[in-house]
Amino acid sequence: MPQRWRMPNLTGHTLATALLCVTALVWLVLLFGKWGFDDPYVTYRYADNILSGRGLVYNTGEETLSTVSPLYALVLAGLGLLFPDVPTVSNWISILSVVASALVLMRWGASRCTTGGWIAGLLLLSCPLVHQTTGLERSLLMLLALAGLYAFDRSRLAVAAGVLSLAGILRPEGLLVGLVVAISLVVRRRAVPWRFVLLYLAPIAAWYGALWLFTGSLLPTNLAAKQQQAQMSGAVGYFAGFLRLLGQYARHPLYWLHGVLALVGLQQVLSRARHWGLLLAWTALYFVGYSVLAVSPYFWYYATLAPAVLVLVSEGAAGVIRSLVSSRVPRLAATGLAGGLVMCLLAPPLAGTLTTTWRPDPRLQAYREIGEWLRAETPASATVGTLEVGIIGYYSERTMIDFSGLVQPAVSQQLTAAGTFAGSTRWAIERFWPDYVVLDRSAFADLPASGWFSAAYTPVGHYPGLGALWLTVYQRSAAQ
Amino acid sequence: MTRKTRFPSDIAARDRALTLLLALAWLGCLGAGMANTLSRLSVPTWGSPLGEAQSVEIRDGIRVGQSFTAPQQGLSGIQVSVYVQPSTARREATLRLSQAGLPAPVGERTLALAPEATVSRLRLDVTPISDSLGKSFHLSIESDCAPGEGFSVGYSPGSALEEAGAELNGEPIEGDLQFLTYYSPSIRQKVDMLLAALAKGPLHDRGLALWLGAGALSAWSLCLFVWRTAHATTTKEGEAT
Repeated sequence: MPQRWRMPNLTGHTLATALLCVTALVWLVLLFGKWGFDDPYVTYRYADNILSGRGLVYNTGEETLSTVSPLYALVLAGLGLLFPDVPTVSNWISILSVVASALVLMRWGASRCTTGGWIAGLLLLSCPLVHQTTGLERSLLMLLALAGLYAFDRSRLAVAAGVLSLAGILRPEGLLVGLVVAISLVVRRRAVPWRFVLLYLAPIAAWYGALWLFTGSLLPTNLAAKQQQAQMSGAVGYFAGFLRLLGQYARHPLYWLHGVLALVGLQQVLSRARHWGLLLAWTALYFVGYSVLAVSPYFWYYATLAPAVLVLVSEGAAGVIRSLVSSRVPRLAATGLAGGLVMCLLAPPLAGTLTTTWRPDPRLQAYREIGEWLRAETPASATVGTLEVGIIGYYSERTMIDFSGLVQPAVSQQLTAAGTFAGSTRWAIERFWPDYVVLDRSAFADLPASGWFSAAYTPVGHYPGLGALWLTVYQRSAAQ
Repeated sequence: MTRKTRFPSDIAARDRALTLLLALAWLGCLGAGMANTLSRLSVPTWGSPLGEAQSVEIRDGIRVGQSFTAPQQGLSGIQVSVYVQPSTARREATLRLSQAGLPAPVGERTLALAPEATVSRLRLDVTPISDSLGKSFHLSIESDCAPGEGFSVGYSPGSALEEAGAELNGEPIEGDLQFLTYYSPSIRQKVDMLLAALAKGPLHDRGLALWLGAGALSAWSLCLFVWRTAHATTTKEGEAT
């Protein structure tokens, strides 16, 4: 006799969580489904080249590794067989990863009988810093790191090894999660779980070995370029950028509440919610690593700090609520105050996320128009030089000369303490003589006026982008 | 002493009322917090800040202007880029912002220029004009500097802002000055901007009802989740303490 279907035993909280996540997913797709900025398009171009049979290359025939995440390029290429719109697919992966990460935080907290995870998950769903990275593989890294650490915390070592191994392959900083787990095993003086070690190390060794054989390098060229950029005159490094970011948040008084609660949360984590320790350790290691590397302070480098910070804030909030209950405040009043506190914590990031739509990156549209124009109007063998190669490179499908050194490592050597982007641009143009040059007037006001440039190049199109940038496309004269 | 009997239906009604009250209070907290944050968030500037490296010299007898139509509510300032030549003479620049149809300028400012060569930005702030959206404005820049001691204002002949244009001595010329306008709309107007931005998304042609429905569903699911979280924190963990 067939068994009767039975309604699953879902608790009220599971239903509430599911409803919240579905709602958040819908809103995030509406807000960030078409989000974009220049950096992810470098990886999209790798995916596109794989799909077109040109291999894991940025420029055809040049085996330079300019993406931090070749695995992500492979994933996008695989999905690209089903969904050719690679940027949208990548945005979807980011959005789904954020929602799944929030679920992991909630589940992790619940498994340890604290509500800090629920609050942290809610705050993560509204975190503008995380959502602004939509399109990058960072949200997927966050998901893999959280899921791996959660599995390790639940002693599911095989699952943890597999997931953390993927994190280590996805981006090099994912290896730090494995390092934190290894340190944890040593500190706890547990017997070495060799199966876990093998499951973790074997795929990583295979991946990086293959990468070494194929590209001759384990690290992408853009790491050195971004280190060089931070050394340029007037530029700051990762740590100084972090302090600047803190200053921006400090201008909003409601974020002070986050700061105070994060300090309370740190005390809570040290005393009673130690299961978050691995997450905090990984984040601290990541922060120290990036500070030591002293790369340019691109905003997406700070998004990885978000889960740990939000966990601290949430544990702080849960600690304050517990104090309320123990001080004999009537339970209903305590519940009301607890909900009010959560809403106060939620308000600033939620407003920040919604207002992100005020400021779509104007380069997205202007660069896309230029890229499509280049693809339609120039020969397939044409070379194009510009400072930001992501979007233009993806849509133009032309050989790109990158004035910021992400694609041609020799260019990044020009980004010294005394150097400027104008200097590296001039150097790259005189070295490679690209057929077309795209310049932003704000950064290169003097270059077009100089005799050597105007003798060699003629403007063929202007692209004013919402008043925020002014791009001009120049074509090299036949005489050059 | 006898206790009044409470029927289950009464208790349920009381719980429902309390839950509704709490939900409203929480949404009030959320709304107040978001309003506070919105009041501190700047809205995007608008104008033609960049362009081809040309300039127009301003001195006695030469007046430069820029007309434009404000794309947002709450116009609160305008800024132009100027290039100052070195000179020991005392030099001043006067910026005047007028609104079409109003007899008096909405703002005027005279600034002293530095004696050394600089590239600087002259900014005129005005009381936010709450209904500036779609209204025509005119900025004029004047100076009584002697020839050769004046300053130049950035000018982009190729700029083609809609419903805007530069002027020289009252005559329209091609392109725009290098200028930026600033806006300080009220919170209500920022919310309107937010809704307008959202409405440009994939649901732009689905009508207001869908947006309201999505908003109500979101508020309900959020309150439900917060209720469960707050309740769990004040019971299970409270007892554990």
